[in-house]
Amino acid sequence: MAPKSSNFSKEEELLLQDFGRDLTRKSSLIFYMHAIFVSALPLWLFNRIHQMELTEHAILFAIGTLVSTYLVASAYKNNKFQLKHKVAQKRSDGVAAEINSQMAENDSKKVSKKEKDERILWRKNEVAEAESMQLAVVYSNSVFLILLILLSFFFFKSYSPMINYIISMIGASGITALLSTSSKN
Amino acid sequence: MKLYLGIVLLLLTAFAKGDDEKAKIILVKRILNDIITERNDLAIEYNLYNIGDGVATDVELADSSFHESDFELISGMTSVKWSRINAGSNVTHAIVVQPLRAGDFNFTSAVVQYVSEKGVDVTFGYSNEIGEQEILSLKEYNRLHASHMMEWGLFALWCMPSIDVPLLLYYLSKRKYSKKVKKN
Repeated sequence: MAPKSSNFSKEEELLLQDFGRDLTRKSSLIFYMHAIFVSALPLWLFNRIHQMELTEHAILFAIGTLVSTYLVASAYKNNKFQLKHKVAQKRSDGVAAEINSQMAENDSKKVSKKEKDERILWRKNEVAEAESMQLAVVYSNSVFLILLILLSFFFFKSYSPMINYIISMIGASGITALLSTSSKN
Repeated sequence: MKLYLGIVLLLLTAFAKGDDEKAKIILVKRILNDIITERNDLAIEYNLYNIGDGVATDVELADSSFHESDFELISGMTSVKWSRINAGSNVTHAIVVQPLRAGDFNFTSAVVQYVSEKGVDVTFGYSNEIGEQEILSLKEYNRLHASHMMEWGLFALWCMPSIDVPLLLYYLSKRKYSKKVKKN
């Protein structure tokens, strides 16, 4: 049974990072920056096409953007968690080859197998983390933007701009977050 | 004998008909625009058909539904006269106006007055009533019908950093680790 304090071995910490849902501060910051950027993009469409003045609807836009940011960021987190294992499996050989070639270049001191395996695991985790984050952002943003365009310019086109904005933003970000919670085995 | 009687009857009918030749004007009013927008030209067409047997004289068309507080007259006249419209013929008149305000507007009938036959009082007729039509504001018109090509183009440009950049980074990393596997 794991101790309640954070006295884990390096291997256990790596495993936790690998299998855990928690994000590092840097990852969270990147996700929220992407989420707020993609949530603010529709403001351009609603201002120029639906003719909604930014100053008149500032409060609505602020609330909509914040709600969407939260939902899209949670979609990123869920998608990244699901993609990370698949990416880690695919990059396993490539990372092992990279570490082996690095060690071959610095063959002045002998490295134990255990240390080599730890380095491979750490590097694999790092690469899988980065790639799964990038893929999660691409996938979630694409789904969000496509849903937003469909909802706003096809299904709810004839609704008043304000109702259109509320339904489209919450609908698109909500469905994106919902889709990210589905698990594919 | 029968043939002789038939010809006499036919001639009598012709003369009888000739005495009752009266004009009858049908007035049709049409809006030529599909969409009516504030401050955009609106074309109205009037078609007058003389479906009677006689010539209509002193024909006068008048449409007072386009008051200057609601519409600006751009081209044509709302009151027009024709000295005669022959039997079986038609005339067309068109005007162009610009609505000054957005909202619902009730397009009422135009009036035609004419003399259907000599010595008879003026006859009045009314066109069809188009009824209530929506006049869109410019803002609403642009929202629904403008192409917005530039706006969509710029939107596609703004989307690129959030989709293309992470995708590029992913592919660069993927290629790097695929190459290392192939090398070994």
